[in-house]
Amino acid sequence: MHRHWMALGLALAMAAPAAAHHSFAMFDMQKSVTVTAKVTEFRWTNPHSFMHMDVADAGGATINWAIEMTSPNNLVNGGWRRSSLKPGDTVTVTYHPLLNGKPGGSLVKVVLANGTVLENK
Amino acid sequence: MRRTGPLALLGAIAIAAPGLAQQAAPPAMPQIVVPDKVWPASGERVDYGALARLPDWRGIWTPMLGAGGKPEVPQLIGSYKALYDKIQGLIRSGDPNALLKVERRASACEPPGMPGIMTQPYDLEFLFTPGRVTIIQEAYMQVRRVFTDGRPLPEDPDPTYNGSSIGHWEGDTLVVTTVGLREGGQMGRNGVTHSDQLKISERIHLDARDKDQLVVETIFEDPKALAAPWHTVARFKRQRGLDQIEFICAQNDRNPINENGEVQFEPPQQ
Repeated sequence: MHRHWMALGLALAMAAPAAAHHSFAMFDMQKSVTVTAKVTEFRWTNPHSFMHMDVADAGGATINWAIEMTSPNNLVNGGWRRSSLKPGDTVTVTYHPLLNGKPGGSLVKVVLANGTVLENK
Repeated sequence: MRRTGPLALLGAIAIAAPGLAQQAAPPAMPQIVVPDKVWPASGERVDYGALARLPDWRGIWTPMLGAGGKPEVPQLIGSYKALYDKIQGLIRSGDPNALLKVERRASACEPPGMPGIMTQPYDLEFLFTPGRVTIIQEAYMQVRRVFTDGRPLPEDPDPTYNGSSIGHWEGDTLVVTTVGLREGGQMGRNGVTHSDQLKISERIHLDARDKDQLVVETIFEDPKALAAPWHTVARFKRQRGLDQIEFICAQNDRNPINENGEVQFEPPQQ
């Protein structure tokens, strides 16, 4: 609600999210990847909330990914709660991957099993 | 209240090594620790009634990022221009890690200080008490104190992140002067830094056409870093249904800075 226009104004101004903690330079912000994943942990913490998730790679091995989002301070205004994700949940996740190829990224959105869309802004 | 800690320590040193105490006069104490001084804002009698004549800035103010108009380009000089040119060149180089290399902090949890405290992508709150305006920034729960009780700026302040600020009211506009900032601190994004001679002047007021918008007009003057004053404008929107939320950066800081000054991204901690 009230903090959404912040993200909009920002997109118009510089086409990149504003950062208080660190820049988004470590992520490939031009690339979005969507996967089906199983949540292993959700940390509702500052300066960033994180979800950890298991994703099957091309060879069938399970890799645990760390996906960063903004702070609870901002997420709460987008409908997020500390209970939004639970270990074991199967979700569809869209993220900007790390440039260094490691299993991490910056969240774009999560689609829950019931169809609820939670965006990272 | 007296700050007995440092004084007690000095006393202990004097007792343990009396020769040292006799050799040199102690340096003048900084203004903030003059033990017998009573600032008007902390005096026994203050005028709470005066607060009723101040403008209504209640609520939480969320930044309208990008709403301040096209930003003016600062006319940097000397080593400050050289650093800016170097960083801008790095960004233009196409190096995907350029912006990571630009972030030179001891910790990603290090708050920006002035003027960055006023331009974080988080909200501000203003508290009025007699002789003082207190500004609370949600990000990192930073606090700025602007003394409006007539005290002068400190003559030789220790450089700090937020500096020393005094202010006065011109009608419904809060006029703030800030000095005492750290050499090399960030004045703007992507390589705009300042010297310890920076003076920041702010005029903070409600928009004449919209009492739910707050305007912060800022002038930067720095004889070592700027050829001419640099002007910026920031706008904020009033939120009446919002409270600030706690922000403890150390809770889950997964972005340590490596030995090259670059921001890292730590994997899940088991």
